[in-house]
Amino acid sequence: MALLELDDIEFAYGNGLVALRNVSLRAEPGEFVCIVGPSGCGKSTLLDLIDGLAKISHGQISIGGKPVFGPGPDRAVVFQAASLLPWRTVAGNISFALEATKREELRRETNEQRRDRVARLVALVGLNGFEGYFPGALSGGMRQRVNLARALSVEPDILLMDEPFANLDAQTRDLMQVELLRVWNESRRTVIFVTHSIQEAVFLGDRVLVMSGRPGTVVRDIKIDIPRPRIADKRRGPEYTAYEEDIGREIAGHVKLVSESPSQ
Amino acid sequence: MTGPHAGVALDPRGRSLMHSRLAQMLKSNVAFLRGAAGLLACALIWEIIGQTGLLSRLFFVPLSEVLVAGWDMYASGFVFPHLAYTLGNFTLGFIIGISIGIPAGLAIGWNRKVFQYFDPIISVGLATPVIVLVPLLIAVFGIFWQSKVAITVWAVFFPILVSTIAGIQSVDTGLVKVARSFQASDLKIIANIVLPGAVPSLVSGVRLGLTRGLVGALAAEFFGSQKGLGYLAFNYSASFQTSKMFVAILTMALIGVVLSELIKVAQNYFDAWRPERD
Repeated sequence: MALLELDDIEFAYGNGLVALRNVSLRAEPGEFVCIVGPSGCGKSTLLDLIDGLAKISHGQISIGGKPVFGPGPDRAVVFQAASLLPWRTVAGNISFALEATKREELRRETNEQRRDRVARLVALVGLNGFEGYFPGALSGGMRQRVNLARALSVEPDILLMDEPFANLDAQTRDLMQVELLRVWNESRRTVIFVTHSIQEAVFLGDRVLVMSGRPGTVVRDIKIDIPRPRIADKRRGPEYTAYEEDIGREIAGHVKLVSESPSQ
Repeated sequence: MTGPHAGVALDPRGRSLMHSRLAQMLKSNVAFLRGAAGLLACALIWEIIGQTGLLSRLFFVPLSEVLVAGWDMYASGFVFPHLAYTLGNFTLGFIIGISIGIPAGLAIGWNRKVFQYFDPIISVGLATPVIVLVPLLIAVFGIFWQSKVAITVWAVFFPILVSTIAGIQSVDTGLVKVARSFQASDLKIIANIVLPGAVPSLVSGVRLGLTRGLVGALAAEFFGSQKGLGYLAFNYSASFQTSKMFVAILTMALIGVVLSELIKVAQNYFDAWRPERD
């Protein structure tokens, strides 16, 4: 049985504008699913819906067979803007999630256990020595490491990532992708990764879902048959570029269709 | 892999490590010395104008005479009961004003609809000068300390209320979203996100409340009072004991400055995370 299942969902804003329609998707345990599409196609909204921060107007979202009604400890989001509390240190930001979560076994932890857990996460994302730093003193890449560690801290079954590397420079972005795969490889959680970068999606994903413009819907589901571990040096090679061109054509076709259809 | 941190090493406050503590100290001392020079210049001008006799001595005396009168009033201990009375009333009123102003601001600012009900009432309250309410509050609370405290509370309450509301409404909604995603309770969101984010706004409210509260505490003593710095200033003024009047006024001003500085210290404590800006 799929871990995450979206069954024909629809989402409309308060003003009636339909952002998503007929979206169905399934993700297996441990699967890395990337979602690409033109900007404004509702990719981020889709993550909000899975996280339970927004309510679907039609259809059903279920995790392990249970419908989603709101945020829960089985999911955690890595936000696009790092959204760290500026008045808390690196360690403080990670433990914020642990203080807030409703996951019972985490709530029961002693202060010492919590400190150990935070220290392990800091090490996992490669921030040793920066525990006491405030976000204002960190680079963009480092902030996203904290963002990732915070999400991982609550041990979610599903990690929802909303263009987490979109605001980073190219080198840092490449590095962070490799780092993400390393971290993911250690725990093999299900990841739903939204991005507008086709290269990123192909490099990271087991599958890439292509979304069309508004109202957004999944138009293709492409399995990326490139063995893991994915090697950074080979990412400009023909295996990858073949997928990238295929997906690029798909998106371009839909952008054109949207612009030719009469505007609403 | 090249290591995680693309960028210059910074200390936890966000300054480059090269930027030594010494340079920092020197800079703040220069600022202090400039402020002191400004004050000294004012004192000098006061003294000169007083000595020239340009203004009637009934209303204006040189600073040196004020200092002599001040020495008498302090050395004899005469001023202290008045100082204690005013400061006591002010402190009590200030604490009450803050401790109802901040929670009320949270309650009103948290929900947009609630805010819309209260917005016009608050505007009226904020715009009403406390001095016109003094007779009314004396009528309600009597002529003793209770009415002085009530007047101070009124003066302190509205600026604090307004700044708390402004602070809440300027909260980073992205951070609130994160907190909701991690299932933080409303209480946790208020304590860890809303209040820390509102600190700059709260501090400016507390400062405004402080000055307004002092004015309120003094104005409360202008009528039917037998004690306090406001009573002294009012009576010395009425009996043309100008140098003594100035002693009372300067004492109040000094209290205002000291308390204002204390608030700055508190703000620095709460804002320790903020990267230094030049």
